[in-house]
Amino acid sequence: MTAAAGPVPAPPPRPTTRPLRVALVGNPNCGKSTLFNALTGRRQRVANFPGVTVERAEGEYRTENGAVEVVDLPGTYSLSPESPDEAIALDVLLGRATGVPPLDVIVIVADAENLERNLYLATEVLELGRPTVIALNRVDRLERAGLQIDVVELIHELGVVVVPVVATRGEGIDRLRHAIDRAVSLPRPALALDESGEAAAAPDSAHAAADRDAQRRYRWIARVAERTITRRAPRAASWSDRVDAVVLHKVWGPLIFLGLMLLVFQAMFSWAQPLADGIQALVALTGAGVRAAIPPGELRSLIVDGALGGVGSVLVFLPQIAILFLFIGILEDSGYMARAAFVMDRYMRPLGLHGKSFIPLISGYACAVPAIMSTRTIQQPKERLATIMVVPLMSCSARLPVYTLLVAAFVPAVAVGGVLSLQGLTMLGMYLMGTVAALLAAAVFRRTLLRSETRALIIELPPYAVPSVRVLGNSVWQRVRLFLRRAGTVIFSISILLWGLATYPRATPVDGRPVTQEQQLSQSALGTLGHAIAPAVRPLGYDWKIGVSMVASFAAREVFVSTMGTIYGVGHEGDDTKALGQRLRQERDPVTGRPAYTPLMAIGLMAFYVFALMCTSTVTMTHKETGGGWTGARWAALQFTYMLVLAYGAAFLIYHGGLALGFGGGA
Amino acid sequence: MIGATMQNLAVGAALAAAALYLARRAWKRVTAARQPRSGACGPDCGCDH
Repeated sequence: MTAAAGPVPAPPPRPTTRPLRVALVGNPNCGKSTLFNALTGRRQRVANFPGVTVERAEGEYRTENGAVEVVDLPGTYSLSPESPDEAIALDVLLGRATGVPPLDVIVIVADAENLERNLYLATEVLELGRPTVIALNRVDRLERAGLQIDVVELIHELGVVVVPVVATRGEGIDRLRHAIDRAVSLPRPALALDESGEAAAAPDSAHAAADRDAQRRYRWIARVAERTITRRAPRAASWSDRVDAVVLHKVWGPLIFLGLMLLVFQAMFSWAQPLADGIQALVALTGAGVRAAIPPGELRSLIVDGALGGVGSVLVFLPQIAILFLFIGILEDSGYMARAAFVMDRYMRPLGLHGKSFIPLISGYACAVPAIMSTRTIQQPKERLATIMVVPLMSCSARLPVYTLLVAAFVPAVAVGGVLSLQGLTMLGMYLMGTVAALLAAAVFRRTLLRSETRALIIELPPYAVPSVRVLGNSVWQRVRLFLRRAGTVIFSISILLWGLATYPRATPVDGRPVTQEQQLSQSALGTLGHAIAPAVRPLGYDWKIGVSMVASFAAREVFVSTMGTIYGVGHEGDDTKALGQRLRQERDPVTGRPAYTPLMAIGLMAFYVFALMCTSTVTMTHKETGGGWTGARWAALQFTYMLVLAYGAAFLIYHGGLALGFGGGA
Repeated sequence: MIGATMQNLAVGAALAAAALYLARRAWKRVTAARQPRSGACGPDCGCDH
C-alpha cells in the first residue's frame, strides 16, 4: 500500500459555525461502527458479522473548527435498498429521513481487503456529487491477504480524498478527521463512468436498464482495480479455508454448533458457581450487618427481607449473565456467527425460514428487543414477519435467573457420563426447547398466515479473527451494567412494594395466640391477591406464592425470582443465610407435610417461562416493527396470545403427564 | 437507635418512593412508545437505542 504520511496540516476554517453533519456509509461488516466508535469515543455495538447495525446511531466529536456530528448507518451494498435497514441508510443519505438534517460530508467506509466489491456502492455515492471522503479500512490486513493498494492512484481515479485507516486500533483517525473537515471546501466529486456502447441505448425495461447500469459500474471498477490493486500469486487453501471445510461441513457443522452451545451451558454452571456463592455470602453478610445496626421493626424487615431478599436473590445470577455474554461475544467477534447461520440454513429452509433469520434468533438469546430490530436485514417481508413472531421464544438472558434458580434447586449436581453436568444439560434442554419451538412456530406461520417462497441465502462470511479483549470486555460490561441497573431500579422498587403487600395489613391474632409469619403472609394483601390467582395456576401444580410471582414477573421475568425472594424473606425472617433455592427445596405443604415444590413442578415452571412472553419491551417492539397502529397491535396481540397458550399448555402437559407417569406431584 | 415511629415513617417514605418510581417509569414507557423513533426500547432493554 502507498499512502502519504507526515504531520497533519491545519484545515481551513468552516464557512458556518453550526456542527458539521457527517454520515458513515459502506457495505455490511466493513467496520463502520468500529470507525464510528473511534471517531466519537462512543460504544456502539460492534461484531464480526454483517447486519449488526440496523438503526442509525449518532455521536459527536470536536475539532479546532467546531463540533462534528457523525451518523453511523446500517450497511448496504448499493443505493437500491432491498431490506428495511438498507432503506434507512438510503433515506439518510438522500435527506429523506424525518428529523435528520441534511448531510455536509459522506464518509464511504471501504474494506481494503474487498475493495472491488466496496467500490460498487462508492460509485453510486460519488454520483450524488456530495462532499465525500473514503476511509479505506483494515489496511493492516492487506499484507497477509497478499494485496497492495496504490492509494495515490485510487485518489486520482475516484477524485476524492482516500484515507487509509485501521479503525480497531485508531490508526489514521486524526487524518480522517482532517479530511472530513476539508471535504466541504474541496471540489465536489464528478465520477465519469463508461457511457459508451449499450449504456447509451434506450432501455427496454427497468430491469434491463438496472442490469446495464450494474455492468457499466463493474466494468469501471475492474479498470480501477487493475490500476490500483496488485495481487501476489494466489495462495493455496488458507487456514481459514481449512477451518471452514470443517465448520461448514454438513455433518460436522451442526455438531460443532451443538457442542459449542453445550460448552456454554456447562461453563455457566461450573464457572459461575464459586462467584455466585461469593455474592450469596456477601448478601447474607450485609443482612447480618443491617440486623446488627437496626433494632427489630418495620424498617429492618423492609431492608433485609424486602430489598435484600428481593434484589439479593437476583444479584446471585450476575456471574451466569456475564459468562453467557462472554460466550456470545466470542461467537460474534470470531466470525463464527455468520458461519453458524450458513450451517443452519439447511435446516431452517424446510421450515420456511431464511438462513438470515438465524442471526436474529441467536441474538434472541441475549435480548429479544434488539433481536427483533435485527430482522431488518431480512429482505422478504413475510420471512421477516415470521422471524419477528418467533424470536421471543428464544430464551433471553432475563429468563436465566429463573432457570438457574429452579435447576440449582431441583436438579441434582451430578455428572452424566463422568464429564457433563446434569444441571448444564437441563439448562441446554430449556434453551433447545425454546429454539425448537421457535422453528416449529415459524413453520406454522410460514404455512398459514405468512406463506411465500423462501429465498436462497447469500451471506458474506467474514474473516476469522481473534476476538478483541476490548470489544468482549465492553460487551460483557454493558450487559453487567444493565443487569445491575435493572436490579438497582426496577427490581429494587418492585421488591419494596411487594414487601409492603406481603407485610400489610397486619394479621389479627386468633384466640390470643401470636400470629406466625406464614399466617401473616397468607393474610396480607399479597396473600389475598395470591389466593385470588391460585385457581388459575393450580391446574399447573403451583401454589399461590408461585402464582403471584408469575403475575409480578410480567413487569420483568427476573422479578419472579425477586418476588419469591421477598416472599420467603418475609415468611422466614431471621434466616437470610439460606439461598432461595435451598428454601424452596425445604418448603413443606402445611396440610400434607410433603415437599411443596418438586422437580416435576420445576420443569413445568421452566417450560412456562420458556414459552411465555412476559416482556412489555418485546411486545412494544413487535408492535413497532410490524407496522405500528392497528396492524402492529394485531401482530403483537397474536404473538402474546399464542405464546401464553403454548406456555400454559406445556406446563399443564408436563405436570399432568409427569403425574400420570408416576414422577410425583407437589402442593 | 432508630425508634419505631421513625422506622414506620421511613418505611412509608420508601413505599411511596418505590410506587412513584414505577408509575413514572410506566408512564415514560407509554409515552416513548408513541414516539416515532425511540420505540419500545426503554432504559433497560439493552439495545442502546
